[in-house]
Amino acid sequence: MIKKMAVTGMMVGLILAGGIAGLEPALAAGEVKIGLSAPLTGDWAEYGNDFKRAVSMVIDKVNKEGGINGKKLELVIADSRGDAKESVLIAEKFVADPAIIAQVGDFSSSSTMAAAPVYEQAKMVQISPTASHQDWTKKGEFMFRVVATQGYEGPYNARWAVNDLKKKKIATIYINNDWGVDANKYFVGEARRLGAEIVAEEAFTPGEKDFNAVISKLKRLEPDLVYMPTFYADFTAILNQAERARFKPTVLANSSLFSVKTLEMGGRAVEGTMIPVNYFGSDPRPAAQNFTKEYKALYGTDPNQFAALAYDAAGVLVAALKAVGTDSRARVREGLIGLKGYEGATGPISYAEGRDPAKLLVRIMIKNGQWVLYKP
Amino acid sequence: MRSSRIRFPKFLLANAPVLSIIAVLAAVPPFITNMYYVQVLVFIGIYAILTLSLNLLNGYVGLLSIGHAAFYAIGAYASAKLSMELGLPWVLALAGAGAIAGFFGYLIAKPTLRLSGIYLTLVTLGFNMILFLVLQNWMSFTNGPLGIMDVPPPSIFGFVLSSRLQYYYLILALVLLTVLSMHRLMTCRFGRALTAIRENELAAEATGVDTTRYKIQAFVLAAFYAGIAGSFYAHFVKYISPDSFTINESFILLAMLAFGGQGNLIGPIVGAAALILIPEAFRPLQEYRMFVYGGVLIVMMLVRRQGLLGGRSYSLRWTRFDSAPARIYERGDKFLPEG
Repeated sequence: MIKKMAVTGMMVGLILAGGIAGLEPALAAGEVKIGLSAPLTGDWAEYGNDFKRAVSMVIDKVNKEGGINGKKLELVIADSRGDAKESVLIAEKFVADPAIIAQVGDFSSSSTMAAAPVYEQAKMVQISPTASHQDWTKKGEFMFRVVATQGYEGPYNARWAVNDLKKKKIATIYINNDWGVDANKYFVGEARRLGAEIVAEEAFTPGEKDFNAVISKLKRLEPDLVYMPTFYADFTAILNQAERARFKPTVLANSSLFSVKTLEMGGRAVEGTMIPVNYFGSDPRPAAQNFTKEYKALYGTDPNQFAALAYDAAGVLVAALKAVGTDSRARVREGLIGLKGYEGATGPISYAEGRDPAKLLVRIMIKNGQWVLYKP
Repeated sequence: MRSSRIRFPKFLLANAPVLSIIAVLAAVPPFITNMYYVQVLVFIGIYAILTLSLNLLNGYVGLLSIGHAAFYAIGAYASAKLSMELGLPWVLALAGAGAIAGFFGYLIAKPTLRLSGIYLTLVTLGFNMILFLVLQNWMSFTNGPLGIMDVPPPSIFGFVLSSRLQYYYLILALVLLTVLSMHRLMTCRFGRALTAIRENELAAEATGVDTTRYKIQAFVLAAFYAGIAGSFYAHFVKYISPDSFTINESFILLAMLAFGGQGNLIGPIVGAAALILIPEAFRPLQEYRMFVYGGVLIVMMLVRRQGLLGGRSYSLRWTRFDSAPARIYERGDKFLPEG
């Protein structure tokens, strides 16, 4: 009995201690903080940690150069686990801290969207490197996006397929999540408008492993081109199974595939795949080159596009803070909209026309087991 | 014979502990200036209702359901749809969400409750997975993975909720209603019958308890309460997508129940509060905070298998002033034997 009570007491004590540890310390005067909400654990931990590395890199650099108007920036990192309810709590925590002036994140659209009303009400900028849900930036005035949306990338790919590659008979296979549905919808819409025939639109559930039914259907339809908004695990599984079925289509896909994993897991089957990307390591533009060099020097690995997008999100935020100062949250929004000629690792970014930037996409393809710049 | 003049204060005195807890919960939040803490309390409220509803099955009847997030999801989607497409006021959408979730509970329970033990458990798991796939793929109705946006805030007879404090009082009221109604249910014949089924199904049947009927009723009730929590969630966060109702969510509920202890009405609330507070409190640890979460659960299962407050009932009455004898069932439940 005494032992039980002691254990219960210990548990309660631990929880209470945690509660006290969780209280924020008193603020030092003149401190400016930026919040980062990202999935550091859970299914998307890999991408969340890319965010963390890239954003810390920007903040450290700014502080080394003397901060913003003499004030040092501090990064407050919170783990959202890719869970909508956690990101709502993080948002509450951030807006309740008067020193936090703006927020970067989250990774997934559902986490980002669930938190949006909280930021909107507090008039705090929510800038997401990757959230691609079309309606997210329409939820308020303070939502800014860095990645090209599927409303932009989809039609871009359709023009590439129909106008440049002259493919008229197209099939699509897409992952059934918010991103895949949009990617497919906007591609198909534009491709039809340009006069292509869409012979099949096949959705699969995230995590599915067997694609033989889809493959035999497509093989029978003989499309000129297969458009595949997918992620590397599904993409390589589909093409490996297609190769076994002796089906070797011309493939156009999305920036989501840009990873060495696609090459490693796809092997011969993915040869010739074409994708547009937000960021490419051997992109000759100086902003991209600088980012690649800095990142590699600091972390010893090549950055991927998620790191590049997060780097740009933090970058535009810092540029906006430099322009309007750090006195008010609401003014950060004006700073971002007024930004001119910002060159990011993922291309020039401007919010003058809207909070979904028009992006410059780089066309790349897989050749001899490597990602290389696409040449017609 | 006592006159009613004396009995009334005695009733108050006997319930003083409960009343003072309610008074603290009602009186303190307006003085919290940091709205983050209020928001955490609201989430504790949502999960308290969910865990209590799961406790009805796992704790009182001894039916192990591991797909409870399915009814939570049905409640959330039903409420969003009812208020957005049919334009029902929130109060009706809430009742509708509970009723629809309860109806699905009936559909699942009716054919499967003749099964017992692990078979029923697998059905609940399967139902959760199927429901997730339906939400994910039925584009025209649920908007698939894009989710439902801009769910309207609750309006109660024309009064539209806006501040976080108002949401807090709403969830507090819902939690109190849940606890009160469950307490009444568990102390009447219905609750005794459920406990009897848990303790010994054969004996219960032999004494004239229609076990299948009672189990179905308990299942429908549990689904109903989960639907209520779902409805509140939808109108509170205002954006719902299938991501929020995966099998993972069901496991979190089970963890809360296992942590707090089942078979009474206090354990589940404590479990929900603890497992919401622990990851929040250790937020400064960033990605390492989940170690604490997992560690606390492991330690709990090692040293106290029935959970923090599991294994027996607690009376929150001040029994010195209680005229009625205390009703305490000493035994825990049969799935988690006493350590």
